[in-house]
Amino acid sequence: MWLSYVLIGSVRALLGATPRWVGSKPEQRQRIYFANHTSHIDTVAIWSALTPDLRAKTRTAAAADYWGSSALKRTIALKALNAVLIDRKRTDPQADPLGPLHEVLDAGQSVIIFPEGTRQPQPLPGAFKSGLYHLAQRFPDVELIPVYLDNLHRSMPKGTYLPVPLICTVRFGAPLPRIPEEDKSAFLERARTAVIELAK
Amino acid sequence: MNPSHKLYWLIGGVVVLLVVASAIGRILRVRVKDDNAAAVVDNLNARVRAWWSMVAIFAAAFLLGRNATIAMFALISFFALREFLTLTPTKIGDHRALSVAFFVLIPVQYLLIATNWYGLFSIFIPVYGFLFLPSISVLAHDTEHFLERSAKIQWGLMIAVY
Repeated sequence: MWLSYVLIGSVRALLGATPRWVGSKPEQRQRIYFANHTSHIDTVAIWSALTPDLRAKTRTAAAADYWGSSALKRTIALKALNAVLIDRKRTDPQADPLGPLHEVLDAGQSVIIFPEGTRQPQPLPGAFKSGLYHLAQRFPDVELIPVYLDNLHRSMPKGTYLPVPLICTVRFGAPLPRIPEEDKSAFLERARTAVIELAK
Repeated sequence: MNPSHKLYWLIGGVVVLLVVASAIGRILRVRVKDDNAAAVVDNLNARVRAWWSMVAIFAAAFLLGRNATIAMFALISFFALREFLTLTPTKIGDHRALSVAFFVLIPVQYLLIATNWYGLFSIFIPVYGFLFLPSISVLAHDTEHFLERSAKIQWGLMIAVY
């Protein structure tokens, strides 16, 4: 859609959003990208950093209570960013909030998720929610790629509506190794450390 | 010799210099044998190529006329200020002031130049910017390192825009 090109173009012009592939390569494989979350531009920044053929097969998770709350936000999320809306408030307690992501991954596509669940004021990520763990359990063959978004917390922090042009980089790390029988909190902490390592 | 003749001579001279530099780079590349020296020559050639593109952009802007030149310098200011502020530690409290610096001060400064309003453009950033930006920052109620932060933003504007 034309709006996605407008968004990607303006993020490139204002912020650069250049990719740094530190431990992995931009390859056509099924992946779960997980990143620190500090601004509304995060999704577009990761998208701009991916090559067009990867971008076509990568979808983002977005919170249904925020991005589904008005017609404009809905259009941006669904049409321009090709996002998958996640019911993070669990309005239907029977339904699995990760259900929409399972469908996307079952279809062979990659996903971008922000495991903290919400935007943070500081650059280094806080505690991860368990969504990443459940996805990793259910899809053992998908690569888990940590992503660190640098400087975006300064460019457009929570509560502001206009990005300040600062040079931002998107760092992609090495795939998180799988350790059999690892428990949930150890896995989430390891994933979080992988993102923090990229910040150095 | 009128000014446009001078400009052609200048562009011609620079192009001749660059042709000489490129030719030397080519010859050196053929003559060097070991890897270290080859890396140095490759680096030199990359720099010469970068100069070619810089000169091409400047020449195109000058030849397109006054407004194109002003627009080009506005863009250079924008990228320079972005570079400067990326390396400058700022806080959330400065967010509005920074937005104003990028999206208001740069366009207004270059509009003043384009319309030949010398009296205002010579004091717009050093006087009005100097008073106005800290006043916006102060509304964010963040007093920590306030003078330092204001001074850094002001210096960035002076160097990159003014």
